[in-house]
Amino acid sequence: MELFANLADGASIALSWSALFYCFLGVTLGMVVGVLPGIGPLPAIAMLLPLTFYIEPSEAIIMLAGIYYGGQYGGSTASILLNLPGTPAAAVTCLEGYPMAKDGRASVALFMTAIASLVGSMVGIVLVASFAPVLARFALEFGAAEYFSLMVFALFAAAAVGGSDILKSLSMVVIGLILGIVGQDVTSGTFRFTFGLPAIADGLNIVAVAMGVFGVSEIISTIAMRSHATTFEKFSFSSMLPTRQEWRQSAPAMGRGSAIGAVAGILPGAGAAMASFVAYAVELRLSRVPHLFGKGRIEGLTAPESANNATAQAAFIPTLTLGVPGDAVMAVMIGALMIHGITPGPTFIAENPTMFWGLVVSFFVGNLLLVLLNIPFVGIWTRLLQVPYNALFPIILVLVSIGVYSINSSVVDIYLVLGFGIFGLVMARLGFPPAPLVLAFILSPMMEENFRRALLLSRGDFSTFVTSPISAVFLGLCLVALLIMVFSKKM
Amino acid sequence: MTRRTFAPDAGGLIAGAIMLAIGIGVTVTSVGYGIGSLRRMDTGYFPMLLGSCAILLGLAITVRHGLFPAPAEDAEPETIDWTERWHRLRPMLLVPLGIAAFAALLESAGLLIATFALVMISGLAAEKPNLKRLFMIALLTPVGAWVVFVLGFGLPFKLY
Amino acid sequence: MQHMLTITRRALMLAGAAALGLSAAPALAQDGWPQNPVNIIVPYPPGGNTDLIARTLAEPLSELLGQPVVIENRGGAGGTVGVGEASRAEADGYTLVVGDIATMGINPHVYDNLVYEPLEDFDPVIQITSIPLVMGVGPRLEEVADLPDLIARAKEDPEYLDYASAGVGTAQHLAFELFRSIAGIEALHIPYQGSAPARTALMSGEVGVMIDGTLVPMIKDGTLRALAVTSEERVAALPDVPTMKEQGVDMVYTSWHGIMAPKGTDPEIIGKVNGALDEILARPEIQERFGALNIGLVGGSSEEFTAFVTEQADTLGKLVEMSGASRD
Repeated sequence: MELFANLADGASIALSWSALFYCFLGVTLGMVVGVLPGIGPLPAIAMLLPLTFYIEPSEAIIMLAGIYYGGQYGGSTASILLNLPGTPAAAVTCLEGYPMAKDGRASVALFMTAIASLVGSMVGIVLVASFAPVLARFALEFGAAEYFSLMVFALFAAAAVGGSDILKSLSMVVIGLILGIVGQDVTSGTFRFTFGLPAIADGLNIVAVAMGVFGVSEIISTIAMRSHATTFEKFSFSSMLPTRQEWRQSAPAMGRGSAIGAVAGILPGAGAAMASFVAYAVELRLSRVPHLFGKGRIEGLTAPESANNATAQAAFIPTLTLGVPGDAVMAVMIGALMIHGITPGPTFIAENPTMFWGLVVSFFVGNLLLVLLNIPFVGIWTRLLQVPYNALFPIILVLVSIGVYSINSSVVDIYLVLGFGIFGLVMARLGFPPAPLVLAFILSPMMEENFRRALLLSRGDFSTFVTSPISAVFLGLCLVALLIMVFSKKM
Repeated sequence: MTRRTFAPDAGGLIAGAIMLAIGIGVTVTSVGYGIGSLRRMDTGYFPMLLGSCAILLGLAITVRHGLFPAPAEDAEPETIDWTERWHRLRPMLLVPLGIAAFAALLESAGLLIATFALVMISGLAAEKPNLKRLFMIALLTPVGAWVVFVLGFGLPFKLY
Repeated sequence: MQHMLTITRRALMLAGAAALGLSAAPALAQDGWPQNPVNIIVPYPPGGNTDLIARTLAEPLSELLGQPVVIENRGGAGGTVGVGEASRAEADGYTLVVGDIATMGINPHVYDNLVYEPLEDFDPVIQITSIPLVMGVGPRLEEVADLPDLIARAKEDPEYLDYASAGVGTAQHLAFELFRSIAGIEALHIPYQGSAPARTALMSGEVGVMIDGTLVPMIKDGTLRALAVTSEERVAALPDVPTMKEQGVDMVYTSWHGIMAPKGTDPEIIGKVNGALDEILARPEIQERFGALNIGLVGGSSEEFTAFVTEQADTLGKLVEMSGASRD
């Protein structure tokens, strides 16, 4: 088998002591910055980037990749314990994870998240290892019309995540889209809805929006309604283990989530967030007890968690084979490769087989390390909840404020978190769910760009959205989703 | 957060009104940016579409709640005394105030003082603030923030 | 430490000083510049061409100067945020900026209210690169044999061509507009957000043609075909590809990068940086590294670079006017 020969080849790189060390360094730092909401991976990259000039390129990329996927593991911790999503994908983790923590099941939630992450990553890795060139070609099938329709579909999934009142969910989608276009229009350079504020000329900060509508508004209402976790669980190894019933619910969910995530990773950009929302919506739709979602259903936690980790691994396909970076970390990785004279592109794998397969093997190693690192922490994190809430929440506010500020060094972002906190509180009071807003917000600029480009390419002909089979399928799915939503439940 | 002072479905009507207001505001502003044509869309085209969606949703919500008011969930209005009302209002005032103080102080007075102020002010939002403990936390948190964010991650903060 | 922190406060802080474990000595008399680490602002996010060039040169430069050279990424608004910040920095030689054809040549003609003026706010130090662009076609234009053929087909059918670019008012956009006007053809501009997605669209056949500096690897492996290079002479990376001029299109257009210092920087400091970089650019291993990426190295005196930037300002101004790519 060629695959095994390749993997053996890669193992010779990835299992050397120095590669193991850099892998460990990368995933640990990635996890740590992931745990701190809002900080994002850039400070970790800043610490390690100078190193990458002096070490072997394959070890440099193993380390940078570790930061990237390590962050995905860490990101769920603050969402589960404190309802603080540091990334758009983590907003989905809040939906079931935080109610579980309030219910005294934080350790189960954290443990299952680690397992779901591992499962998702492994599926993603296998996909990268077996099909990278084929998948890269598939990614090329996605043009402007296809991207647009895919995003419309993802927004319907986000609306489904919002709950049973479809009008209010869709309203939050539209508000998210509107907030997402604040800033400079990339095509014409015009500033839109910036009210003359230079600080938001490049758009609103997604972390400020997400932490405002989730974190800050939750803190205020928790104090007001005295709704913080009151059942202090005693942590023991066995309290971390889910019941047989929960295993049974989680296993297929993780499989479905991984599959969704792995496909989403092939599309550069908002893959992880889209995959999380879609995975959650699928679980909700398949469930026989949808009314229990939002109250701590384990499959609503594990499916999106598997999805976003599968995406993190699969996202290496477009980055390495097309040279298209999905986010800032991937862009740095491309830069680090190019500094060593290696250009990502269709021939990357053929020209650098040992590096590519070394990276794949390091994914296995890194993910196992992450689970081993995570599980001992479950106990520590859980004990955090035993701190009286009155002592804890001011510190959470400090974490939120510093995290938000650190992204752009912008004080305006701190006021934004405050404004969105109050906004979130008012909207929650009126029955508008916050989650759909977050996905719509990040998709908005991409949707507009692809919408305009699709119509530019088709010379203004709307039929371009249905003449492409891929696009037509997604729009058809949207229609089905809409019909189900309207007719299945009480409006 | 306070006692329900409006009819059971007034919330639905307010929600509809909010969406209508957002939609109209966005649509009007977008038209000002220039719509262009389908073939060559201008800056305002996409926002105008979104504004129109918001108007439609606003209308739909208003009509639905106007025609089919949701059945009153619990007819008994919650009876809340003044102490409870004050308790629920306090975090809504003090948490935002604390964050605003942090934002105002961060670049002038520095990280340490801003963090202290955020902890002290927001901490008072708690039901029965333990002042001595709060003061200790307010003293220790800035040190922790300095160790983690400045020493650990090398983030560029002005300390004091 | 405090001093360093305030300088880099608003920065993304890549290659942070803390990571290098520096201690900023108090600024002594200027007699032996540099006494402190030297910051080079890259007005783009990490990972791009400009960042790559700065980072590759930072290491040998810090060896020659005897002080660490810290790269500071300040992206945003087409590079204008970072360059604007550099224009306001103290002219003490401790803040330099990497200027390029966009920030120092095109933007002044594209943005109405730019916060800096290239030659009024900066002293050019040295030209680093001259990057020939390549016109590449993807699977969509498989039938096109060569450049004259492309022009003939476009003349026959004004709807025939659409071309990708890295965005409105980018060097790639202007290059194609220049080509379009010289060749006398029509073509529909499809802007993307940067070279990478534009290149992907070219590879997938969404658009037909593109002029860009990052196509060489895809041309070498056969995914894309090169019709012409925009430089004066053929380039080493693609020896078989004729120039525009060879094929009857009188067009020479190269993208470039150079180091600039805030206006009023001590000429001695400028001379020192210029000398160090000129030496580094001549090193064979550096030449080789950039050659593989199809990036030509230039060097020369700061006077030569000043004259070049002045000439470019004029040429690019005319081009922007012609392309109609102005913003507010």
